[in-house]
Amino acid sequence: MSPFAALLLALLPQDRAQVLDRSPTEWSEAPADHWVSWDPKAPAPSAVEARVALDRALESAQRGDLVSSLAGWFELLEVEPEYPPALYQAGVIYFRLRRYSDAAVAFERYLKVAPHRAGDTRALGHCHYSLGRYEQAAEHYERVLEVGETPGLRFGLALARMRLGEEDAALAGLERVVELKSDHLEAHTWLGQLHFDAGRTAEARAALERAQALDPFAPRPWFLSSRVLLEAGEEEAGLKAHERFKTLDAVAQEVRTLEGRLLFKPQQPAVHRRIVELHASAGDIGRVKGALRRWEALNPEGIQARVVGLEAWNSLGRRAEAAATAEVLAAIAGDSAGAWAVLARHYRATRERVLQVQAEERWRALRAAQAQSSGD
Amino acid sequence: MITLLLIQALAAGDELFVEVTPEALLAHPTTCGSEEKDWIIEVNGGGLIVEDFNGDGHLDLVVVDGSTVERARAGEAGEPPRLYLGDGACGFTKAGEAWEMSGGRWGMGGAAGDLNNDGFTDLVVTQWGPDRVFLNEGGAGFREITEEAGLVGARWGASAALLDYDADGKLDLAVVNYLAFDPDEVKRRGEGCAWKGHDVMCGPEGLIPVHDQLYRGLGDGRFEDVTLAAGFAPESAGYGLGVMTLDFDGDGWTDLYTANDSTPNHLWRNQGDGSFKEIAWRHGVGHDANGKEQAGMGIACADANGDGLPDLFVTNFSGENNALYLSRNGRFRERSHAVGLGGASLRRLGWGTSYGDFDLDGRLDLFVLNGHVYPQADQPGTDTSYAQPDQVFLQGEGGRFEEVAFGGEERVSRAGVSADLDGDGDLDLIALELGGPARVWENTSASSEASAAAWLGVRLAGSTGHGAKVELEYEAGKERISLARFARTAGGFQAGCPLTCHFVAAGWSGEGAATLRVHWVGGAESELSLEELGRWITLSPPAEGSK
Repeated sequence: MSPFAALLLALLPQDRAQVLDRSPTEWSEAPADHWVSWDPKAPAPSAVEARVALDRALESAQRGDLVSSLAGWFELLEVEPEYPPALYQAGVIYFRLRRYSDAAVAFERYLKVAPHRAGDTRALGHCHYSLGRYEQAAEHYERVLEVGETPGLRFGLALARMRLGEEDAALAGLERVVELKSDHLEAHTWLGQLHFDAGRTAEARAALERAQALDPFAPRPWFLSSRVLLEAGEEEAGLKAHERFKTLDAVAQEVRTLEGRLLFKPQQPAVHRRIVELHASAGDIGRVKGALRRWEALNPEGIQARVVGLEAWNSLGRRAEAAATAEVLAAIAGDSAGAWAVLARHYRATRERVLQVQAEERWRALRAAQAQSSGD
Repeated sequence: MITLLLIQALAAGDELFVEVTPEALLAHPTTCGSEEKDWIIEVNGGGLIVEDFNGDGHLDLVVVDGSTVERARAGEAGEPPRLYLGDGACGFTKAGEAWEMSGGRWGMGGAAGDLNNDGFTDLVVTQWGPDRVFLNEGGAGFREITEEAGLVGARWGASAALLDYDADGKLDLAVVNYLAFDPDEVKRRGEGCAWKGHDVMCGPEGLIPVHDQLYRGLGDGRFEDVTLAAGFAPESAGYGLGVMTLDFDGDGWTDLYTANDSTPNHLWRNQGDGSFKEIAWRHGVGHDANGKEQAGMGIACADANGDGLPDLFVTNFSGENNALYLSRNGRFRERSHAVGLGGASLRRLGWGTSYGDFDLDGRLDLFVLNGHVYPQADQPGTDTSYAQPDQVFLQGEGGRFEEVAFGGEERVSRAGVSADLDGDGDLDLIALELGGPARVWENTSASSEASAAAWLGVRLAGSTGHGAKVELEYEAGKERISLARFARTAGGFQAGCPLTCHFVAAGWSGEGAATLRVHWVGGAESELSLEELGRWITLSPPAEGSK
């Protein structure tokens, strides 16, 4: 999609506020049994209005612009009341916006019109859970499990059981999760927590070490480890784990706050930049990649994301990623003097002399032109 | 004064609490800035302090009132704190002229205790501005001595706690400060601060947290700032809101715990040499079970799990669970969900809270006052609301809590205190509404026939009663039961409670004496054999060398 098209799809600030002020309870109902034979493989609605709304919803979601996407689903539901994919996807968007009550309404509507698709609605359990309705969460997970077992469902059910005080059932559930998916980070972490709470230090330690191996940058396993180690009398190791936790947690907290801002207003280059820098400061390659990917998806032709990416990869000594980013940046840099300056620095560091000279010449020429135009 | 009571039985029959707010309180709602809540200073509300100030044996009430940003900017005084005298039957009337206090800048909370050891209850008031001290003139009125009291600085003091941390027989003071606030520097609503996509007032994130303060009492109402000398300054200051005194490790020295908004809570271990050490993380009470700091507001503290050591309950922001930290071998485990207190709080924003055996069954229950900080919480998609129901949780078998109906109407509540206002042996409640009145709730348990409970109220006198551990031991059938309570006046969030302990000897047959033991701060002990319960008794520390 061109940047121009993306601009057309994105909502103006006042429209964004209006979308957020709406509620899924205003969706009108379809005639009874209208969708009873709906099949996910059925073609999408073909009316022009419906196509426009669907395109907006899907493409905005792809770019990470949740509010614009939600606007699209609302429009589609006005044209095609209770169209099941629209209900479902609106639920997903609400869930990602952390509007759990609204998400629950959307998923429940989906279940009402397409009761044969209960297997799709694991997220309804998550909504109940996030609202503190643990009984309902557990019941829903059980219902979806009847359709088919997945690690995510088992995990959701185990946590709901734990919140209900049924810790033995939670433990069994988490063990089943790691049987199904041995690299389930959260399951290992919660196993560590449950064992620690029950005073089973050795088991807690083993589970947390596994979690740390799976993701060395996740703060929580370090937090729990520090407590386990201290209670086991391993003062030095406990303090070291706590220091690691504090470093990672400071990053995680700031990222959480910044991501909260992006949920409602995704086009904030300074916020994206800060997130990339934070992950890079922790040396967390995976999350740097993820943050850049998300930023680039919002602005496929965006220069700034590549500039920040190139700087991050160079600071981390990741030559392959830096080279790939430099290649893209050189192709889109156009008349951006700043981008050429960054490229020139990159080529100097990689001793790509020809490219360095070219970049420097380009930068100088652009600077000179800028100086002249400001002098005029 | 019964005639002045406005009785509003909100539900018939089995309602545990019935609202009996006196006209005097309804007639004077508190002030706390604008209804729109453009500034963070406007959202905490005022304070409540319950004690017997005029020495008539009935509990009285101080309502600490606030102001508006406009008045503060113009240099005008805020609403004054007000004393209401209790009639011993849940009724209160405004005290006379001798008790009147002038308005400060913007009142928050406070604490009450005998600062000069003259046998009468004095008063400390926290505020945005210099904290204030009022000495009680022999039960006849207040005299302000703030100028010479030695409370330094003009910070935003939220809660205060009186304690005798050095066991010298003179009350000391801890003041918990929130953040550096100046309306000319802090952004207001509409200047870029958002919550769930809605414009809201700014803070506390992004604003500067302010260190708490510890003062050593000089025994005459004046204090000496020992914050730095006592090591009462953590590596990183928190946005302090609530404070609690406790002896978490049972070593006889009074420790402190502070609830911090959006920053880790602090547990201050009293090292017995006049200094404190912050150890919250080590002991598992700084964060939630996931290692995430929460938005701590209020604190309740009692031996909820019956191991003789205090447990902690901290109220938090919406989207976070209130945290129950149960003691275990000198450390704590966060067990909110395991006992049924987690999910019930996720959509609420909790403030004032306290333990108490509200249904007289021998188990400690909890009340939690709720209300959001953002009026915008009523807009779509917040999963919460501005006005919220207050909550009472009764503890049942196995330590699990069940929520029971309380209060009916949803309100924006803040500080709260539980105390036996009518002397009938059950604990009543006072709750302060943000920008509204203090409301009184009479507990109906003692009047029900089923509850001819064996209760005992113990009132302690003297500074070494602040932090004392009180134990009641009795026979229930073939079982010897021991209950532990802790005497303190810190009410958790901008509140002060009376220096009392309340027991219910469930299963006591009435045969055989019950034994009451008081472990006073400083090491003195009292022991009393009681042939009958069902009454309030007052105890003073034994003379030196005696028991």
